[in-house]
Amino acid sequence: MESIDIVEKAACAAVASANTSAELREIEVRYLGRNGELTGLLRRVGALPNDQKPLFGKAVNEAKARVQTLIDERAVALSGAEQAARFETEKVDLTMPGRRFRAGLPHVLAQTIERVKSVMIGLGFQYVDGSELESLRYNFSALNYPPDHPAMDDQDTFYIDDERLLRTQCTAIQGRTFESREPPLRVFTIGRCFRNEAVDRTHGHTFMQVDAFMVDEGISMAHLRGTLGAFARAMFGPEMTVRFRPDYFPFVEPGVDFAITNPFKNRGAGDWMEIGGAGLVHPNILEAHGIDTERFSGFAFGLGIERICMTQYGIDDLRLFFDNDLRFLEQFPA
Amino acid sequence: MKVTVEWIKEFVNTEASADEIGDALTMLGIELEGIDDSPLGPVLDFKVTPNRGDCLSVIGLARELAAKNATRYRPTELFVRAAKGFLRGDETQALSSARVEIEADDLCLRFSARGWDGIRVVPSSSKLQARLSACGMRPINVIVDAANYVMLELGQPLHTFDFDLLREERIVVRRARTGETLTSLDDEERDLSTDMLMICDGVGPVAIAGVMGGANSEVSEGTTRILLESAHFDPRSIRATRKHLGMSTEASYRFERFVDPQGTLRATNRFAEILESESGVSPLQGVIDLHPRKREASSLTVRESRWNSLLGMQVPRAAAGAALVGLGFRVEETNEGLSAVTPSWRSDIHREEDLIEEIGRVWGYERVPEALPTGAAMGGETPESAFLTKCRNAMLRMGFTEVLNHTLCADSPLDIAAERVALRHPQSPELALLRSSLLPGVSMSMARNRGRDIQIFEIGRVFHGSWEFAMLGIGMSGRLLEEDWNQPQSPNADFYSAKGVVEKLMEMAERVGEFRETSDARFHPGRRGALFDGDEELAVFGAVLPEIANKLDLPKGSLLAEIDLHALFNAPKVERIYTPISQFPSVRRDFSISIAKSVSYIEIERAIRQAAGELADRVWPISSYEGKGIEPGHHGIAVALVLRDRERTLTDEEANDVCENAWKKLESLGATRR
Repeated sequence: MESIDIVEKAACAAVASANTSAELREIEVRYLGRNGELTGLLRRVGALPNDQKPLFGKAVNEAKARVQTLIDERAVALSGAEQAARFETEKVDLTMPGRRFRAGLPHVLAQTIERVKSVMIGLGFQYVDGSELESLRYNFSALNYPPDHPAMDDQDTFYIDDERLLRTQCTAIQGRTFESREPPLRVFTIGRCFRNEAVDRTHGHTFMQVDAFMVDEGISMAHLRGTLGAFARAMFGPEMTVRFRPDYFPFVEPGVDFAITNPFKNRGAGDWMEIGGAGLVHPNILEAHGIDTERFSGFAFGLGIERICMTQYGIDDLRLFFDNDLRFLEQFPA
Repeated sequence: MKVTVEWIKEFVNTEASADEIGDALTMLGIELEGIDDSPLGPVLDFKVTPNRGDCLSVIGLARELAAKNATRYRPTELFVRAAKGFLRGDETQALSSARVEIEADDLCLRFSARGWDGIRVVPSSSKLQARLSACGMRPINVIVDAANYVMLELGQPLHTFDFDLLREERIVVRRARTGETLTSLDDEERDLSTDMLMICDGVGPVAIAGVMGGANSEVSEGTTRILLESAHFDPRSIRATRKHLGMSTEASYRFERFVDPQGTLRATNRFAEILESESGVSPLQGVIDLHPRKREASSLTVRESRWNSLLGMQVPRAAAGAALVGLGFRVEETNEGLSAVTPSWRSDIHREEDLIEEIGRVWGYERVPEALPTGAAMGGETPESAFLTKCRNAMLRMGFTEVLNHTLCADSPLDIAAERVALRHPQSPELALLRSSLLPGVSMSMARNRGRDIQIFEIGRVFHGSWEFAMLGIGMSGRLLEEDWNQPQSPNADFYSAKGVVEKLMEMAERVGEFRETSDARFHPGRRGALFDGDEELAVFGAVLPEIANKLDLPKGSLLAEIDLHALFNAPKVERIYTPISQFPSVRRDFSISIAKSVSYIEIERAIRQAAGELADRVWPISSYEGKGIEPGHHGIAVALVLRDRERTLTDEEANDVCENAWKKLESLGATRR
């Protein structure tokens, strides 16, 4: 029995002094393994008197259990410390840059287009595609332009021949829509328009335009203003308001241009952001398509995408949009 | 149109500042573009819309201001005299010394004239010169300056002839005759066409009506007798003539935009006043005033219910009436609203809605409330436009950057369509054609970003004859992944990257097609491919032909792909149906063979698949190798096969049987084991 006590004490001391999990595992083998010192004591049972055999065996097993408990406790302590030390050595440098994942980069103008599109669809408008190569008829005549009128001078036109041109305004979708659909209508398109202008920082021969119109019973200038207000608030926030100013476009009567509260005033622009032209669809156009103007009226508006995008990001040169310098495009990861 | 504030204030009494006047007119629809300084004080520069020729004059602007707010802008004595025509009292007498005939009475609605004798052509007074200069016109001499002064003030262009140079002392207003020419005041000899309206004397043309006078009748230093022309010409005729001649003058600008036919005589009277005060010379007694065709003054009714319903605001009947009266309409009240006779200077009032606009803009659009249209409406887009969005998103998901290139372009070796669309009058060769392919633009964007790893795409319209449709252009060069620290160098994009993008796009677009050879000459003959739906080519892709790549300054190893999105939209659609996932493990076997390069990969895959039958789960190439240890004309290729049964775990024996069978088939293709 004494010998059990001696071996157990030695084992406890060894466990207490073990500094690593590996040492502890060695100690475990040395004392508790199949040929371990404590386990080995059991072999002496045979030499003992019969009455002492159970007592001795029990004492050895109890000693083994106590040592095992100590080892387990020590193991937890040591592995915790060792793991902590290992974590310390595995520590990353948080200031190193992360791995570069390649994400597709939408063009900054297309980002504005997508936003406008979803807001317009949310307002109940149906998106249709128009043609960039249009006929004189849909671009001008069907829009109530008198033949060869000075109003066309505002829109220096790229002609292909006497009949075909590059559309100067997306409003060209109106005639086509009226020919194929009946009111009530809420329709819009977004696309490229073209004007034969000299190119500089603020003028291009190509630009993106949204054009929308709606025809229903009792549509008024108030509905136009309300729709533009809802559009502006969806795009730029709840404090947006709309300002009308009289203007002239042959396809609307009355005609206005409209500005919205400039949401980017801090970028040095003025109080108002003038973004488009609007008005009530000219009754001549409705009548030309057999629509009863006593029953139906409509509004139409068009606005420029570039203006919104440039004001929003403080971009000062229109030409950057079609230059496709990755250093420019990467500044707007969406 | 530039006008000094002090001139406006000759017509309306007001305490308003230049800014306030500018704002007031802007909110009436005559947009202030800028304010300049001049010795006479501020000069306002307005952009007058083409429907408002009447506002290309001081009196027109003053009238708008007074209509908006007659308390703030009170018409002056001068305004009232102008409204009454600056009458001199001799208007019913005929000017005896000259004769005028209008032959083309369809193009010249009215011709008024006065004559002077004993004038001296000297510089005008400093006051007149200062006003003209401030308004952007160069002073010349008292005659020309007085004419320009009246034009700016009243909007009526005037022309003066040296009466002694008018042959037979008469004027004939007619179309030009075949072969006639005229040297205009700018010393250009103009070829005239027979649809142009001319002012002629007894022999031939002396002025291009409404556009520019002729040198042969020009007032000069020695002139003592003049004839003043004040006419109304047909706007379209003037526009056609000046466009044909490639010129535009202050006069033609106004005539194109409609000049008041009732204001011709008034302008001659005002000219007489100005000349009297400038030089003390009075006109000869009497006038010439031919008015072969009179415009009917139109009378329109406008209903109160209609203006309220269209404007979306209530405008009291009295206010609506006052607005119209202020603008010069003769107004009477009716049961339903108002009736209004349009003033002679307005050519833009044709129907009820035009009057409603007048009422609305004077009452003020700032008073229009906001209201949303009622009734349910379903927003959405067409299936084809939704498909374009889907393809765009597919490219973005694959990590490509979107670019936008111009529709107008120069010719390019990458643009090979048979039917190109060209502009009639191109600005420059760079903007002469409509693109028939997106690849020139995409490659321009690649050249623009040389030195970078590039994966870009563009979706846009192209033009083949009268056919316009959407394409997707793709460009790749350099590494597939960006350089990064402690990472192995990423491989460069190669032909199979281009093919992979097309495959992935098809997957995401849920369309099927078949890869085939192409002879598209824009690509490297050994590294190109196309995708077909039956006979329709959906896509081409490959490495750019080296000569073209050099010419376009493309990065090394540039790959391009172009997909016809309209055709793709119409290609057979993939039906997605769920396949149950097998619960049983798979077995993989690799085949490493050496085989003639003339045997294509798909034959090898097909042989292996046939051997595996329904157990074939996946077959794919692991590697392809040529060179040392491989017979010339052959290549080493390793192909993996994964076998799987849906119902049970496969045994080794079953897998080995498949392999044995596969090897037999591979050997019959000429493969040897490696």
